[in-house]
Amino acid sequence: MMDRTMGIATPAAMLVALYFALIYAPTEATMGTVQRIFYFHVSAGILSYLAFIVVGVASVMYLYNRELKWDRLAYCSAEVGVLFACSNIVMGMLWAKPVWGTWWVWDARLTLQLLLALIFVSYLMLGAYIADPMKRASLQAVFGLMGAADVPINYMAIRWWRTQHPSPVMFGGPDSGLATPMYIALGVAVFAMTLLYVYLVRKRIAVERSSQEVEYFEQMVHAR
Amino acid sequence: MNWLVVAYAVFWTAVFVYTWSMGRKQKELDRRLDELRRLLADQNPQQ
Repeated sequence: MMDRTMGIATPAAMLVALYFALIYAPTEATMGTVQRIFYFHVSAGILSYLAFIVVGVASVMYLYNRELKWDRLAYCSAEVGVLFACSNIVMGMLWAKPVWGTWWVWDARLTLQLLLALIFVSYLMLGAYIADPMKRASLQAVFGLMGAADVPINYMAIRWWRTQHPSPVMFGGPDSGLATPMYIALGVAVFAMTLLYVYLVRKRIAVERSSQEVEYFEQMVHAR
Repeated sequence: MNWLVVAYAVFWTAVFVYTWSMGRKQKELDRRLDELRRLLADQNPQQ
């Protein structure tokens, strides 16, 4: 029932977010239509942070009570987080080319976001190379916790270091802010993206469960 | 305008490909599970 509701609500919310980003929000005066990349770019970035924070919390839970369900949640959240982080980086590059005239600069925020994505790609690869589930889960939990520690540094990067990346539009002091319709469009995009995150993580956990079930049955068949 | 279209197309393609690959993997696992269950039932016909 929940899966069905999420399966309908998520694409619907994403379409509404697309409407708000492409039609409802006003065109920005300096950058023009290309600024509309902002709504999905920022929300994908926020959701990558959320996904990696979930990895950190689930890793702590696993290290505390050694239940594999926490390891499963951390692993699936990391995978979806990498999807969001990579989308965020690519959309940022597609915005930077017409606005900055270059695809990439080694700016603090860009570098840290790339590093964050790479940390969690390594985290996923680590899982693929260790066969023993308990050993793998413990190592991943420690690695995931260290990766999650990069999130606050990444968030603060545009506040601590003034470089190429635009300064914060939310909670960034008296000079920051957006027009109200832009805030609404961003809010709708973040909400839709959160639904998408929950939907994808639930689906991924179901796949992981089935995979473990198959492993268990294969061992039973080979044991006979 | 082109950059905007490309950016949104990249995002939607990534999400679509990921969701589709998960659905495919789930189907494959379900098929393998059925196969293994049948195999176990054949090995243990009295149960």
